[in-house]
Amino acid sequence: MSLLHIENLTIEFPTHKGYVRVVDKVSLRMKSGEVLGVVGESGSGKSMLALAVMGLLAPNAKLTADFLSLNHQDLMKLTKEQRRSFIAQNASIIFQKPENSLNPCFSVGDQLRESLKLNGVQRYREQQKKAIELLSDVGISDPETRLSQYPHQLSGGMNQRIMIAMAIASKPKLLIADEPTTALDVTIQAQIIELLLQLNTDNDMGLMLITHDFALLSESTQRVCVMYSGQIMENANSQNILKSPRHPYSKALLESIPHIGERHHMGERLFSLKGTIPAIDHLPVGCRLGPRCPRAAKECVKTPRLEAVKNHGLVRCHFPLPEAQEKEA
Amino acid sequence: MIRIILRQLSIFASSLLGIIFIFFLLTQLIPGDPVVLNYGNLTPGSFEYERAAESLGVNQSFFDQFYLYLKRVLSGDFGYSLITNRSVLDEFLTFFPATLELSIFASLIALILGVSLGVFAAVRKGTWLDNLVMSSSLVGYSMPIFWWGMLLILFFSLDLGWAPVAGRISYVYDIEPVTGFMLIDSLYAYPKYEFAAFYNALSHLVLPAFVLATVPLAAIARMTRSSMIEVLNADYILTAKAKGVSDTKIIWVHGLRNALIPMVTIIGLQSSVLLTGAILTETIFAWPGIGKWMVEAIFRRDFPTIQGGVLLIAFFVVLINASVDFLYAVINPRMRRPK
Repeated sequence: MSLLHIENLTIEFPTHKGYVRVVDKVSLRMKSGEVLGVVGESGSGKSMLALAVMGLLAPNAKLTADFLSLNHQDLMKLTKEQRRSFIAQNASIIFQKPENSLNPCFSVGDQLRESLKLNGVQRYREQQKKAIELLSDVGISDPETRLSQYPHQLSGGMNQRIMIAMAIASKPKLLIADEPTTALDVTIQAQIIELLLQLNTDNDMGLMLITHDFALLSESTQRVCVMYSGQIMENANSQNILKSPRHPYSKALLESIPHIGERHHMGERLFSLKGTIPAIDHLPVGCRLGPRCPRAAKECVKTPRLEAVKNHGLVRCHFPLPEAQEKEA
Repeated sequence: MIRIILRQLSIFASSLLGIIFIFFLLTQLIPGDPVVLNYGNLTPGSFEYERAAESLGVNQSFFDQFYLYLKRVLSGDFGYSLITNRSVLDEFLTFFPATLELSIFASLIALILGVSLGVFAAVRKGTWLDNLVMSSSLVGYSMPIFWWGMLLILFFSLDLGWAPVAGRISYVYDIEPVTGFMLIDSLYAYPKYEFAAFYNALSHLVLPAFVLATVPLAAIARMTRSSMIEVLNADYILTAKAKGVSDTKIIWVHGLRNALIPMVTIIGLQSSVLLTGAILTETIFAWPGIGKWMVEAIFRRDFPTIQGGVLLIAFFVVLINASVDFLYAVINPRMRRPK
C-alpha cells in the first residue's frame, strides 16, 4: 500500500457566486520514501492540495474525496481530533516564508521543545538534548546558542532549517515542503533542497516537494505532477517529463527556464505562455489551458481526461506531444 | 534590558519636563494677579503679599519664573488649597488611593472581560455570536457613562437593591485608613468586623467599577478581536496546528501572546480614558477620589488645587504610559537585542 493515496480529491470554497473549485478531482499516490515533485504556477492549487493533506484547510473549505489515506490509515474514517493527531504524528509541512512560519514570540528552543513534547519527550533535559541533536541534524552550527535565540535574530535560511528540524522532530513518514526555497537566496536554495533529499534518504521519509520552479526538481525527484488551474495536467516519471514532456503546459514550463550558454541568442526573449492563469471562478470551457495553449484545436473545447500515454505516464490532453527524439548534448 | 530601562526613563523625564513647561505657560495665561491666584486674597503691599510675590518671582524674567516653578514642582510643592489651606500634594495623596482602587478594579474588569470577549468573537468570526459581541461593544463604546451610571443605579440599587447607591463603605463601619485602599483597610479591621466590612466595601466598589470599565472594556474587546483575527491567519498558527498543538493552546498561547503586543500600547492609552471616566463616575457615585476632589475644586475656584491636581494627574498618566511602553518592550522579543 502507498504512503499517501488520494482519489478524486476536490476542494471548494464558498463565494457569493456559490462554491468555487480550487482543486478538481486530483488523484495521486506516493510510495514510502518517494520524492514527488508538484509543479505549477501560482494559483494552480498545489498549496491547497498540501494543506488538505495536512488537514489545515480553512474551516469554510469543503473537501470531498473518494479516498484519502496517509501511511495506511484512511483519514476519512477518523474523527476530527483523531485525524489531527494522526496527521501530526505521520506528516509534517514546511512553508514558503520561514520567518512567518515560526512564532515570533517564542525562542527557537521553546518551539522545538514544544514539538518534542507533543511527541512524547516529557523531561526538559531530554527535550533540550534532542533539540540540540535536531539542530545539528539540519546543519545548524552552534545549536546551543540558537536555542535561546528568536526567529527575528536569525537569517531566512537558518529559520528554514529550524522549520525542518521541527518538522522532523516527530520522525514523520511524509514531509511536505511547500515552496521551501522561494524566499531564499539561490545558494541557500540548493543547500535546503540537498538537506531535504538527504533527510529523505537517511530516514526513508517521503518528500512532497511543491514548487513553481522546474529547475529545482530536475535531478532530485522520482515523479513529477504538473498542476494547472486545480487539475493535474501530467503525472509521470520525472526523467520522462524532463526529457520529453507530453503536455503542452509541461513543455512551456520547461522552456521558460533560462539556460546559461545554450540556445539563447542576444536579444532573444525567454519563452513564456501568453496570458495568465484563469481566475478560478472564470474557467474556460473544455481544456483549462485552451486559451493559452499554442497547440489548441477545435476539440479542446471538450474537457480532456487524464489518460495514460504509452511508456510515459498520465497526460490530460487531446493531442499529447510526440515523444521527443534523443538529442545529443 | 538596561538599555530599554534607560531609554524609557529618558522619555519619561522629557515628557515630565514638557508637561511642566506647558503647565507653566497655562498659569501665565490665567487672567488676574498671579499672587492672588496662587495664594488667595492677600492685600497688595502687605508683608505676606510681598513674600508670596517673591517666591513666585513675578518681577523676574519669564525664564527665571519658569526655573522657580520647576524648582517648586520638583521639590513636591504644588501650592496650598485656598479652601482647606492644606498642601495640594497632601490632599492629592488622601484622595488618590480611592481613585486608584476604583481604576485598578475597573481595569481588571475591562481587561479580563474585554480580552475574553475579543478572543471569543475572533474565534467565532462571522457567526451571530461574533455579531452580538461586536454590536454590543459598539453600544458600550459609545455609552455616555454618566447616563449609564445612573441607569445602573436605578436598576441594581433602587429596583433590585443588590448594590449600594454611593460611597466606598457603609457608615456603620469605622475603618482606620492604613493604606487608603478600602478593600485592604477593611481587611485590617478583620478583628472588629470579620469579613463583613470587606464584603460591604466590595459591594460598594462593583457598580462604579463596572460603569468605569464599560468604555475601555468595549474598546479592548474590539481591539482584541481584530488583532486576534490577524494573528490567527498567520503561517505560524498553521505550523502549530500541523505540529498537533491543541486548539485551546493555539488560541491562548500562540495566538494571544502575539495579539497582545499591539494591544499593550492601546491598553495604555485607555488609562487616560479611565481617569477621565473616573471624574464622571466618582461624581455620580459620590466616590471620594481625585475626580470628585477636582470637580469640587473647580466649583470653588480653588486655583492652586486645580493646577496642582491636574499636573499630578498628568504625571500619573505619563507614568502609566512609560510603564506600558516598557512592558511592550518586555513582551515583544523583537524589541530585544536587535540583530
